[in-house]
Amino acid sequence: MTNHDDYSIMIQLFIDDELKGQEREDLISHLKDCARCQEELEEAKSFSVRVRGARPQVEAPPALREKILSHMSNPAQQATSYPPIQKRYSVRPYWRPLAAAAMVLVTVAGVLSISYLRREARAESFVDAAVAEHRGAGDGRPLDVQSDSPDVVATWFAQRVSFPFRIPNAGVAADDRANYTLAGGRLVKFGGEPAALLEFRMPNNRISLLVSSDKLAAAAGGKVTRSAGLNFHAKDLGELHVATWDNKGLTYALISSVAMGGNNSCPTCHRERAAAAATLKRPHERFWHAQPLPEISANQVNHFSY
Amino acid sequence: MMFQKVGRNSENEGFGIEYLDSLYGYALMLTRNSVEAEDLVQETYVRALKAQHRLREDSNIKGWFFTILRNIRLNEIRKGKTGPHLVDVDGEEGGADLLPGHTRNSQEILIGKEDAEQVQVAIGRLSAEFREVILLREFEELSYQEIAVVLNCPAGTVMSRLGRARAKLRTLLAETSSQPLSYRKASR
Ligand SMILES: [Zn+2]
Repeated sequence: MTNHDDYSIMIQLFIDDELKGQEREDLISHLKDCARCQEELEEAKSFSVRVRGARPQVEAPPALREKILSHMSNPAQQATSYPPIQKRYSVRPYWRPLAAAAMVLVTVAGVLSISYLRREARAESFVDAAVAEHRGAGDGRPLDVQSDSPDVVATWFAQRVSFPFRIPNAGVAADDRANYTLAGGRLVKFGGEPAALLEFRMPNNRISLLVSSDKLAAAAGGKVTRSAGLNFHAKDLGELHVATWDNKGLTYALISSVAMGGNNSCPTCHRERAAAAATLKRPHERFWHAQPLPEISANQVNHFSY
Repeated sequence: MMFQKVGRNSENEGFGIEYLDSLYGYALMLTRNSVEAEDLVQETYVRALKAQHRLREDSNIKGWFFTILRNIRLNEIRKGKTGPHLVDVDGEEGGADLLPGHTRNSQEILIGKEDAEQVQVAIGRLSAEFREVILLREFEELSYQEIAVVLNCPAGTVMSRLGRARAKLRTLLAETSSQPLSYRKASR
């Protein structure tokens, strides 16, 4: 006969999803009529939840992410250019300010160039298109595909747009307190090409997200916030809040109401609140930084560097 | 979820990049030093990229990355490139100053974060061995078998170590909550 010490071990294994077959069956049937083990199970479960809830919000430095991604896109060149580890330690204190200075120089040069101005103009028309679509949807224009399943919506768009469509993982996590729900999407035109417009619903609001290839538009202008290796460009247009960004070959423009306020504010621009609202995982992070799907070709990673 | 399946395709750029934050957290825990942690993670991706053709279709990619990272770290320690952070015995190492995330923006610590903060402090007081197994199981949600591969030990060892680590953590947390409020870590 199994004694209670054994059951204690089994309970922990059960919570860790390591208890299989007959042992699992035995425990489950024992739990039905043993109040002591039920209590122990509940206690162990809540301890596990408590520990997991303490997971620190660790974010790798954006520079590290960029370095790794650029190494992946060109392993041979990068591998030889790494300075030896020991040496790098000694130069590190000087390296950071230098890198920051280099970044500022790049930005200043960019501001003065014609291509930057062109880019900004294109970004503006991209944002304008997104705003127009957002308002159109508010007037009751129907969705082409209606589903709260990212898989369904992504599959639908994958057959209709010419770029490798990716959908951010919105509202799919059970612990997503922001309550975004995917409503569906519409096929729209931008720059003469099909683009994807996604609609997300919140209790008192809705969000539109226009997605296109970054060959047609690139994010520019506005107030720039760097987060997780991406540059977010944000601004307010009348009653609307706009955030636009590039990620791995795609350009996104996200439109929501300025009036949303409080904890429902654009998480791109209110990251502290967004982080505080997240518990075990970071739904917002996954929302704003969609992972690429496998079919993306290797050269597209180049769009990621800036 | 479909977007998590990225790493398996070797043609895919951004190979394993979805584990970057997790790996960085693990590296911070092992090195207790953000500069060393960055180097460790970078080296992990360099090695992983070279070795990815050896991955089998059914390999656990996340566990594989963790294993590579830990092996690099062990080699560094063996070669004397770094302090022997991993070999300290079950003892209290004084606070959670270097626990990943401890330097979070104070704005993140809102209501409901107080308990998380307490738990983080307690985890910071665990031995390196216990802290590691808690991180791999509770934070990274690796299975016993996956952890066994990372730690290069039998799954039974993982089970017993995890049991002891949890027991120690419970004790530490019980101590914390029996202390007067003013002794607890301030969290605003
Ligand atoms: Zn019982």
